[in-house]
Amino acid sequence: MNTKKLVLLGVLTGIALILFTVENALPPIVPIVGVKLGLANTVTLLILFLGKDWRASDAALVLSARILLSALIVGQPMTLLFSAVGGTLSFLSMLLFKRVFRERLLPVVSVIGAFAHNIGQIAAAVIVYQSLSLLLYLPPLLLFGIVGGLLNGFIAVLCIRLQGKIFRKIG
Amino acid sequence: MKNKGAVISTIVIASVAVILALIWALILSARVVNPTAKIYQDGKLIKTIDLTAVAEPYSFEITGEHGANTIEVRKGEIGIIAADCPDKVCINTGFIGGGAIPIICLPHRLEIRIESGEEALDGVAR
Repeated sequence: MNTKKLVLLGVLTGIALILFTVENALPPIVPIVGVKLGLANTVTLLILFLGKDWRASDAALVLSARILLSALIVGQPMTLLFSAVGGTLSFLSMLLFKRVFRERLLPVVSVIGAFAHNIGQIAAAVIVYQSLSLLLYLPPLLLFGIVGGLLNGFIAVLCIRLQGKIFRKIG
Repeated sequence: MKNKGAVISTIVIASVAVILALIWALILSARVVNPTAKIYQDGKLIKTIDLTAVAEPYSFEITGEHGANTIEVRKGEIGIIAADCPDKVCINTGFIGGGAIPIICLPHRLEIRIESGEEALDGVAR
C-alpha cells in the first residue's frame, strides 16, 4: 500500500464518519427504531466500485474503521454490536451481488446492501433482546432501506462519474 | 437490449416496495378486542393493564437497571411520555391501543405490547 492510497483511505474513513455523525445528529425521519438513510454506505460503495487499484479489502478496512470509530461517537456498546453485524452482512452481500449486477446497476447492489444491513441488525437485536416482536419492524425498515439504498447508490454513481479520476490514479 | 437489467430491477424493486408497504399496513391495522397492555422488562412480563377499564388517565414510572420510563395510561391506549434513554424512540412511537406494533425502548430493554383481553390470539406478536 503506497502513501497516496493510505492517505485516501484515511480521507474516505473521515468522510464516512462525518456522514454518519451528521445523520446521527439529525432527528429521525420516522419514529421507528433503526430507520435511517445510511449515507455512510456511499463510501463503501464508492470504494467497491472504483475498480483498478481498489480492492474489496480496502472497502472492508474503511468500513470496519468507520464502525469502530462511530461506536465511540454514539457511545453505546449495543449499537456497536448491531452495526458490526449489519455492516458485515451488508458488505458481504454487496460484494457478492457486485459480480451479478456490475457497475451499471450499482443502485441495485446498494439496495441489497441496505436490506442485508437491516436484516442483520434485526437478527442481532432479536437474539440480544430475546424478543421476536422486533421482527415486526422489518417491513418498514426494508421499505426505507429501498429509499436509502437507491439514494446512496445514485450518490455513489455520481461520485464515481465526477470524481473517480482522483481516486483511480494511484502510484 | 442494453437497459433490460435496469428495467427488470426497477420492476422488482418497485414490487418489493409495494409488498412491504402492504405487510406494514396489515401489521398496523391488526384488530385487537379488549386491548390489554403488557409491559415486559428484560423479556419478563412485569405488569398487565386492562386498557378498557381505565377511567381516568394516570401515569407511573418504571425503573430498571438501565434507566427509567414514565408510562401514561389512558382509556384504550398506552404510551411512554418520558424516558432518560438517548434515542427517545419509545416516546416518538406515541400512544398505542391496537395493531401489532409494540412500543420498544431498546436501551432500557422495555417493551409494551397490546394484546387482546382474555383469550389472547397473538401468534404474530410473539
